[in-house]
Amino acid sequence: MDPEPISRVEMCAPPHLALHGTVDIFLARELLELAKRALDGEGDVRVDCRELERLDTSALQILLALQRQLAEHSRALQLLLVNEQVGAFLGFGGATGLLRESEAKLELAPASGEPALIEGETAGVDAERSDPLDGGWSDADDLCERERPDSGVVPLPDESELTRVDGEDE
Amino acid sequence: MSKTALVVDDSPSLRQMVVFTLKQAGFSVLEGGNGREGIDQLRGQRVELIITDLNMPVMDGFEFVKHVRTLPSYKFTPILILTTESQAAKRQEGKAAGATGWLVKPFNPEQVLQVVSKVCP
Repeated sequence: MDPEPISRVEMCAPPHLALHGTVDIFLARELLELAKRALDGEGDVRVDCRELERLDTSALQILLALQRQLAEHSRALQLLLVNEQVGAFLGFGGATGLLRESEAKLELAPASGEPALIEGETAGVDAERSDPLDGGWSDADDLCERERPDSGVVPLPDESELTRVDGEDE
Repeated sequence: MSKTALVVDDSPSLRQMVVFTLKQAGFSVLEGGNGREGIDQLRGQRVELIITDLNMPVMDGFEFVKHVRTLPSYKFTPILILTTESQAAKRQEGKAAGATGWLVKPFNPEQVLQVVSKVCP
């Protein structure tokens, strides 16, 4: 059994990114910073997802915001080598447009700095997801409550922060 | 005929995710980028569910909910607040404003649908 990848996000042959493990609100700040740097670059932004096991909506929100702002400059965001679980999540979040088509080949530099030729392929997207994220609701006739984890939680960065990279004020 | 929901959030990408989630459940979805736009969307419409953010420009979520509750047609319409805020005081304020439910971002699309099915069967 392969060891679980350490969850992290990294710039990989700028402006390309690589996501590893579980990328959720605990890594949202780092992902946002990398998204800003990717915006500063040129050309399409490709995200190596071969070691990505799970996304949550805070991470997806950042990716969608990045996609939106890249598109304003005729640039694209593409997720590569997405596993079935993440693909299903993207489908549930309406973000299948981020998936790169299977014919793609991409040169990315892995963390080691050695270039690697990767066959791009995307997993099938199912409507069902197998691992619900944490959270819960109270009875429908009362306020619904969900506590976030106690430690290390950063407020979800909003895309206006991403926008400011483009030199626009809120 | 499908039910109609209104999603109010100043983040287009967040709205995109919520709208897609609701459309998968068969809703027609209207959108607003702040409370004022949300109120504008309600005019002349029959909306069965409202999901709103709290922190928005022009008109925030609390003001939006309070205003919606003054409209006779929307006195009992389910209103869910979807926000990064999680403090008990904020939740209480939301309840006092007239909200039906509270969900903290990042949200789980499946759980949103579960709750929607409860408050808007």
